[in-house]
Amino acid sequence: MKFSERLTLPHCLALFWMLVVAAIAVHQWNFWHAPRLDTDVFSLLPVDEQAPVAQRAMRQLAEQGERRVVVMVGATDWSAVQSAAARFDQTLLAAHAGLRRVADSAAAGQTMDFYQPWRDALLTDQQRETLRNAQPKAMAQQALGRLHGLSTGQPTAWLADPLGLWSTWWSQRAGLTAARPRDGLLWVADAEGHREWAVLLYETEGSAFRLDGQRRWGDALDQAGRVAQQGAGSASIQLLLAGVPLHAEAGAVQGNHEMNTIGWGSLAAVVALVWWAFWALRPVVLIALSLLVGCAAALSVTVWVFGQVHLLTLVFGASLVGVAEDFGIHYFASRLSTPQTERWQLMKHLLPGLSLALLTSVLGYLVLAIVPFPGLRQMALFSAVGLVAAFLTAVCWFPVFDRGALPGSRMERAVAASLADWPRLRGRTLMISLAIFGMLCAWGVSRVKVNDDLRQLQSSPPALIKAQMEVGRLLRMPSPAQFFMVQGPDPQTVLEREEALKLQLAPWLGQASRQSVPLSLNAVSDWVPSHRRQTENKALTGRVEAAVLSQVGQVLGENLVRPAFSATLIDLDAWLSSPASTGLRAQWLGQVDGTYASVVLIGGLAHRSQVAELRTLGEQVHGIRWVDRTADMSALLGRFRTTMAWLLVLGHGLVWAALALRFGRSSWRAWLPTALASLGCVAVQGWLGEPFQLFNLLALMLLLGMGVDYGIFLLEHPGEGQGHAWLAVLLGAISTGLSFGLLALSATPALHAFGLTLLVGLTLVCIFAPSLRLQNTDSERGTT
Amino acid sequence: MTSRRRLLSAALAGSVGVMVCLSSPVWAQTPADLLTEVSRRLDSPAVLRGEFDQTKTLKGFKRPLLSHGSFVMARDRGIQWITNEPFASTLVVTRERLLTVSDGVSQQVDTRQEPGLRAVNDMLMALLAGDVKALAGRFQSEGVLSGAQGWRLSLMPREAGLARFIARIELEGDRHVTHVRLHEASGDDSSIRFSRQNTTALSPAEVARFN
Repeated sequence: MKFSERLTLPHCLALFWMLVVAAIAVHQWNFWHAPRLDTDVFSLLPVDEQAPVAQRAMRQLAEQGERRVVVMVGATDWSAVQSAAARFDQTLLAAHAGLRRVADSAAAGQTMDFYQPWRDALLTDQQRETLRNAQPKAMAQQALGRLHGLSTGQPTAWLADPLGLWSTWWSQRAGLTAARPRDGLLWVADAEGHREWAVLLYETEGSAFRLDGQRRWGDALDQAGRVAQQGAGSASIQLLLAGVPLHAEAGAVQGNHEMNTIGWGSLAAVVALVWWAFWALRPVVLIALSLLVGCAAALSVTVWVFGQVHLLTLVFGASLVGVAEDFGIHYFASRLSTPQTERWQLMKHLLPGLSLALLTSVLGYLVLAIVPFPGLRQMALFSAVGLVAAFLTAVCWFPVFDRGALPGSRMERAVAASLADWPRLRGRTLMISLAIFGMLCAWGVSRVKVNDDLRQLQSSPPALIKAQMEVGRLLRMPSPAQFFMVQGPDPQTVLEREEALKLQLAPWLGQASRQSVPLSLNAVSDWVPSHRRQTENKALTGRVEAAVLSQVGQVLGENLVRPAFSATLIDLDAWLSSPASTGLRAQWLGQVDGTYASVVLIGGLAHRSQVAELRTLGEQVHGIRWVDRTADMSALLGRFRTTMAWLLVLGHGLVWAALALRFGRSSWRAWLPTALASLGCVAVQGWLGEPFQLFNLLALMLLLGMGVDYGIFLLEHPGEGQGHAWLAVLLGAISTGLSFGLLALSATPALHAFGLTLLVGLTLVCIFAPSLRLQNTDSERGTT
Repeated sequence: MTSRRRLLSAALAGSVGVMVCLSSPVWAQTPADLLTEVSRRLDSPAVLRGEFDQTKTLKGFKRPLLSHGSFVMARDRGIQWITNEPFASTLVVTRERLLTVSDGVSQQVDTRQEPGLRAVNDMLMALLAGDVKALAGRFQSEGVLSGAQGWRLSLMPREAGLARFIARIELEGDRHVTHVRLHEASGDDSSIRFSRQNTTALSPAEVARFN
């Protein structure tokens, strides 16, 4: 046989596809050498076009803490806490786990040096009030009293601060947080006074922390915790761990685990099923090959388009294995029913049905990409590309590489034959069945509870979340998701508006703090007052202090000269670039969309009612807006849910139209099983009491794509081949169901919802589709 | 973070001034023998009272500032520092608050809302109760014993934060602390001499002031 004779269309296709696969293989080789995996939940979230400033604020605040790990060691006795904290620190550092202790004493000196020249420009509100109404004579008397009393060790020489204002200003700054230095540690006691806590701060090392599914930090911290507790004797040591890196690591570990479970689990299931059905090695190898090519192509294209791939995409993508094998299975099932047909002829015969199936599935996935939701777009692209690649592998390679006879197995023949015994629903039986199913669904649907909570995307271990909340409560840390946004045309206006906001809220904060835990506002202007405020303060301290010094000098017979302070004012940019702004810089957003903006955080917020009051009061000040990112994001998810519900209805309409073009009057037989199954899925959510959310709807969108395939395969082969089409449908549905069933085990609520919906939906489609099939002898089929 | 440390340092500096004046035993880790001996030589009564003469040398002042008054220390309750001459003022330190009264104007800091101060007060109480470990972590010490009763110690802050406020503290005493010299980092110095120490119980007026 000459080479040119062999180079037919199928061979050309096979060769072409081989080149593509080779390119993908090279890309994969490079990718896995340095995988760019993303684990941040927020990078999955939709862009909120309505609030670019709020989004930037949220990002900046999140970045600030993304390397910080907080460890709290608690006991009833402070000395037990101290020794436990020391043991913890030593063990952790000895473990070399990539965490280093954050030292702050050096920075303290730098901060104080930074502010020293402007001591006269910094006053608390109360000090301003006192100085405004001050009688120099009375103040001089107090100054004399202090001067002769026990030394109160002020941070400057007495002459530089004769009224002792500086310490009070600093102590108000320190009041922004609950933790206080004590014995070389940061110390905090719980409000009830039961326990004393030491706060240890660590930072992850390295420029970019790489998460590879290993639990390095978590293990090292746990080990250090055990050592701290074991050495404590009878004292009971409590440990709290918090920080973004721990959540990221937990997410990576879990994602890695789930990806492996789902990916390898479904691959094993598919291989076992194919082996069982065809009783030959070739189908197993070829189908596994199509899955491998599909997954690799999906990953390559996703990385190429997005620059990196999110871990949740891989977890979700692992379920692709269960979907993409449909084409291969369908091909081999058809070979069994018509063993004599030439391979390429058979493929050409199958092509319309396979293409339609691919089209509906890909459409289902692509609808996910309509939503401006980066995470979903990745998942949709990944799945769509994976399906197309698996499809092309089947079309281009199977006819060429599939040589020799396919004997089939007893099992396979039994399954194919079983379709004949499957009850068909028609006429009155159909109507009665539909009525019963409808009533069951109505009951379920009526119990459905909608939930748009953002936390669906989060899968951190509950213990970690609980510890995080406890740490936040003990340290009175402000929420990074609820804050005031201050905007103005220039930086000074922003600072002045911050000051107006603080003034407006001061009475309310005082009252609220007396009722429960102390509340504090945390603003840039606390540290860098507006120029206007600084000028006022300088004038005030200059006037009163000069008068006091002169009177004290007269009494003591001394010539007291007030030392000079800086002639300039504290400059915002100088502050931002100095170490003094460490930990506060994130609150200054700078120029965004033509205006300047900053964030005022609130520490100690405990009740929802407080939020409402605070918001009402604060927004009365010009240029102030309350931002609740959690609520905003949940509202956004809610809007998407409504949109998706309509898109789903539209999708059903479009799919039915596409089916009608090919199957005419019988098209309802391909569509109705999926429609009924979708209804059933919603009802099951109601029965199980699981919340109905955006991700259930997205799963229903996929179900539309996949479920209709099964109807198509059964309708495409109304005659002799129907049994083997049934075999293909059953094998496909079982493997898809298995892989999504595994997804239902995911600890991430969104993925769990996806998996559960598809598991239930596919099962229902498999029950309805054969019940509504055409009878072998039916001549109902319309066009073609 | 920085500010927290600073607050404590400020509070500490103030209270260290208080602390070291209270004829209380002061220990440091090294040399251990010396500290053990000093603690043995010091009494730790439930109530200690006496008089003081303070000399302050401040930057920018030609002459030192002299003052005279009395003090009361009650273990488990707190300290009262009463300046009589040349200007009357009172400082009361308890677990819950820091109260200053001068020229009829009183200023009070609730230490429950300002845990840094409470931490210092806790330490102060521990000191008065004869808790050896309390100051050892904070100061490095050296000193000499003299005769059967006398001793002298020099304390240097270990932490950089505290060193911004206090350069050095020198203590001298026998059964009680008799002389304290506080060298502040700013260059201001205080020298306090104690006399007429006795252990008479608290008067009702003093009890009232503690409350």
